[in-house]
Amino acid sequence: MSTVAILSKYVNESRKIAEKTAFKLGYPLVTMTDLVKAAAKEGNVTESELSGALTDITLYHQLFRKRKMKLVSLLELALCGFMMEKSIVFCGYVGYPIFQEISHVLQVLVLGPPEDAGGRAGGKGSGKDLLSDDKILKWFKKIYQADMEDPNLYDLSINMWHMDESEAADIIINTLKQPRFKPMTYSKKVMKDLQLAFHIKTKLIEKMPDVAVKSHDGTVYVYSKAFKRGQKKAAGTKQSIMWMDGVDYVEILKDQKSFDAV
Amino acid sequence: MNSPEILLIDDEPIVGQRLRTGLEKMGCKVEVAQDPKDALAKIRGKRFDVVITDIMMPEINGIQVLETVKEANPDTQVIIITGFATSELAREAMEKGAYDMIAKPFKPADLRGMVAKAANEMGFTDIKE
Repeated sequence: MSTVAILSKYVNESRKIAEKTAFKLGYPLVTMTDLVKAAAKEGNVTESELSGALTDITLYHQLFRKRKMKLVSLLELALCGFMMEKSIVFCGYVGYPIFQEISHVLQVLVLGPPEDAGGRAGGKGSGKDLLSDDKILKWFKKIYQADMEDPNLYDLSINMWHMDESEAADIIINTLKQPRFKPMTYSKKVMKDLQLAFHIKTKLIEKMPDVAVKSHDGTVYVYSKAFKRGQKKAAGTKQSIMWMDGVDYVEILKDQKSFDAV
Repeated sequence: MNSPEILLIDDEPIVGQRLRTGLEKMGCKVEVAQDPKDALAKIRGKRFDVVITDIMMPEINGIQVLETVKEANPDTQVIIITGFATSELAREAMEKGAYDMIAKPFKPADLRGMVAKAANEMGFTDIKE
């Protein structure tokens, strides 16, 4: 279950590279639209609401923010599902925290020529598939507090100025052959743990937007500032998730340091 | 029956004690080393089919063990077990030729599964988890 994750603000160009890479590898291509469909089914929400969460870059209204974070979490859970199921090529702009955790994910950044940065991709029929261009960068920054075009976040940066999509796909495929991108017991287990953690997070995030969840072999660690305000919240949260599939034990953590140390 | 030779390296005695019996029941011949220096001497003196090593050990770490194994016998499969698993460590281990890696704590059956898979790929088809 290898994963190639191609992120870019150049929607059309990265999509073409992803299609070519997926075709050459014989892997299915997973797009943002696929994530929306899968998340809608899994989370019992509408596709238009999920698409809205991916296109609206304003996060100022707290109530809306809670809902939006839940929707993003649902999309990330759907992405985990695709990654668990089979080897994939993903093209889009969600999932950055997942990719950082899983050692076998080849993370690719697609860059374009600087003079094209202002609207080319959005103008060529990419609109159907959610955001384009600089709005993607803003969305990414809002959600993940990171610069999507920071090359340090990736294993490979490809500049479309220098090559066509077929050459780009060949470079990606050659890079994927490096042993470090081979799935192993550890990375597959991390993926499984992340899937459970995202599953629980989607259940809790609307009530506690700051909720953070980690899972290790069925033991689940949950942190939120809300737990400091009383035992009732902590006990209720524990009760609500301890019977979920895959959960053996729940530990409620009241301070960030303890959670980070897990 | 042809038995794979296993070397299990961990400075915590309990790890060797817990894992040894299960591996022997599978049909493996198991040697346990708590001192990584002794382990390196064993690796240089004898060909093992599978080496299982911890990462954090005094003086010599598991990555150094992996490098020594691959230098002495590139065909030996190395399984990393560690309580300090990270994505970076996993990548480094795989790049240096590790067969697989698992984070502690793990179920002994998980490790046995990894050993059985490695042994089967090496031609020890009688080895079952």
